[in-house]
Amino acid sequence: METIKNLLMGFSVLLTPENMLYSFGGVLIGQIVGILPGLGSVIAIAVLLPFTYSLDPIPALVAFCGIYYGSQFGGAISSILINAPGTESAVMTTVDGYPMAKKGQAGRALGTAAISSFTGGMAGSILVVLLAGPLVQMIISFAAPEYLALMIFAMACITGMAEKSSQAKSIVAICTGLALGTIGLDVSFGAPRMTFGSLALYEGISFIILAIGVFAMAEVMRNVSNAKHNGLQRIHAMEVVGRVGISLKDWKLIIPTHIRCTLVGFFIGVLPGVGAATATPLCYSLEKKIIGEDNAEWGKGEIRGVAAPESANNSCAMGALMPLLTLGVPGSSSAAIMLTAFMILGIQPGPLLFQNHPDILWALLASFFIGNVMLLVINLPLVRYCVKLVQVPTELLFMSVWILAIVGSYAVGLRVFDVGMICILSVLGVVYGICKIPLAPMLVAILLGDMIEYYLAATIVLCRRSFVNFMSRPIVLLFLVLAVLVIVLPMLRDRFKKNKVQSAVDIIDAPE
Amino acid sequence: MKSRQDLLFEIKVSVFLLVFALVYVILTLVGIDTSGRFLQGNAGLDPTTFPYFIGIVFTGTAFYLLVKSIYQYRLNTEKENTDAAKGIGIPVVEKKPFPFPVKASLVPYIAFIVYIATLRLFGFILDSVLLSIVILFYLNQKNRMRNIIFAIVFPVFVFLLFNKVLDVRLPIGYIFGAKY
Repeated sequence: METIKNLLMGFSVLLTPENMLYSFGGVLIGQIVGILPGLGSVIAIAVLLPFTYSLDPIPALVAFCGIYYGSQFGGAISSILINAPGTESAVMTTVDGYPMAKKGQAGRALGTAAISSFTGGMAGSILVVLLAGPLVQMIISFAAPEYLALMIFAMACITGMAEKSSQAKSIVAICTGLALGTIGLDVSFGAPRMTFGSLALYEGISFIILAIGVFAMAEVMRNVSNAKHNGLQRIHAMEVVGRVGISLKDWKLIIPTHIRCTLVGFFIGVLPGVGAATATPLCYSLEKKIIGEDNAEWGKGEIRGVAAPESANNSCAMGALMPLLTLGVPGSSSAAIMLTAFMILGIQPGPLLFQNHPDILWALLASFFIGNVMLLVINLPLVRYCVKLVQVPTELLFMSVWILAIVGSYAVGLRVFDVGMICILSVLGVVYGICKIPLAPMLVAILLGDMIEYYLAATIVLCRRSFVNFMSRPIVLLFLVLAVLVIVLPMLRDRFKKNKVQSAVDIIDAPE
Repeated sequence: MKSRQDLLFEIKVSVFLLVFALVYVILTLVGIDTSGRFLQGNAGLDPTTFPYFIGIVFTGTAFYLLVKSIYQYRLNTEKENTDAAKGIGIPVVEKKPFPFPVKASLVPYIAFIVYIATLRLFGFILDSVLLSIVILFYLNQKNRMRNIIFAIVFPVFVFLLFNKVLDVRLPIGYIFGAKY
């Protein structure tokens, strides 16, 4: 009852023409960003952050959240019509979405994607609203040791959920993020670290500068260089013929898929470091197993093959906001950049957000519902016009992002030094891309670095330098056990699979 | 199984990471004030503790990657030698191109460095117009008119939006009378 009352209060705060306009602007930009391959919500939010400097927190946050979940909607469109996913989370949608479009069912595929995204987004929003309050009640009692254990768990998730071959590289990415975070005055003692006398480095490298440099600028440089090397490619989207929507028969088919994938997607999203890139293939293969390989045309234009990843990635995006809003801990690169947006606006996400800024929080949660309805409206009738965007000349797109990245970095401190920093950091982003080192863990680690160091010092004092005292706290123990499991279980699974394959080979090779 | 070429690349990557990690360790040794001013004994920590810890984990991971890639490379070579001894031909692997066109990236990077160096001199509008013209013509010389219009209109629009609407003062440029 309390939740419903709070949510109604959120709606009353949100429903002003200004907030509605920003919400619509946010979801529309998110939709466009999602459609355009090579851009993502991280890059969009990073370069658009300076637009918020003169805004109030509610319209600014509503717009950024709109960009965040709007990009999940848009990603499916390019997956279906040009066979190139606009976002990482829409990769699985190409598997059945593009074959559907090739069969002349583009309208049906787009309708399924829109409705599934809407269902996933709405269900995810409901789960956030229902679970955030009780979770905060639990978290409010957390002290420094619990937070430290939580950070260790987040790091373990980022490492453990990476592919086996890139686990060590994820650790390298985390270390790089933590290392970059140590530049500037340290949080506990105020000592300058690695500043070498430069006053500009005393404040450290701003997270926005890092995000713009390592993500946006590196992506621009990669794209410009590849475009020069391989020639500019013009994208031709398939035409949307007929009505965008689905029949009653299709509804009956996809509803069970929606229920399963929304739940799985949401809880995967809640885990730090595990995003839609993990949730969508998992939900797709789960559906394949439940429905059966022979009972559907998997990979050849199966409607449930579009519904599964789309409902999963949208509920996952909502789930990823849970640790951010309730704990103040970003679980993904998008959430990390969202956290920065909160902090720029003077709001610290976490349990105290529910006490100190309930109007902002509940207005934001209410905006999820309105934003999802807006996205459905944009997607169903207007999708055939949105898709024209992919035909924008790519060189103009790169240049626009480049200019916005420059402005975004300059606006942080009105210093040319910061523009120079994004140039240097883009080299790091490009080099790490060549080395196939994931960048998302680096971004999360940069933000978590200061928190880890602070909570480590506080924990040592609180636990009187005793490891036993630290481990004797039940929640600490729980997080540490989970951290170990997250790392060990995938290893054991791989070993088990390897043994299974080996024994199958032995049986085949065995003399009769 | 990874090809020999891929493994050789992995070794190079590991060496690069190891050097990078060691540079960070050296920076923590020389770049942090350990004169005692900032040391506070109660937690047993000082400003160097956390960076040292990161440096050790970073170096250790890079070293592990190096050892692993060398080991895999040796295994691969041994297997190929054994196969060759058995008369099984070594599969011919096409040489893969380097995953990033370094030469093509020189012009954008040089243009960006020049842009940064001259930002205060020329100001945001002129500098951005010049950068846009260079990059757009570098990528596409066919649509000249479109390139020029975009190169002028977009930076001017962004400048006006930020300076007049959002109140974020972008540099005007010394040559246009700005005083910083």
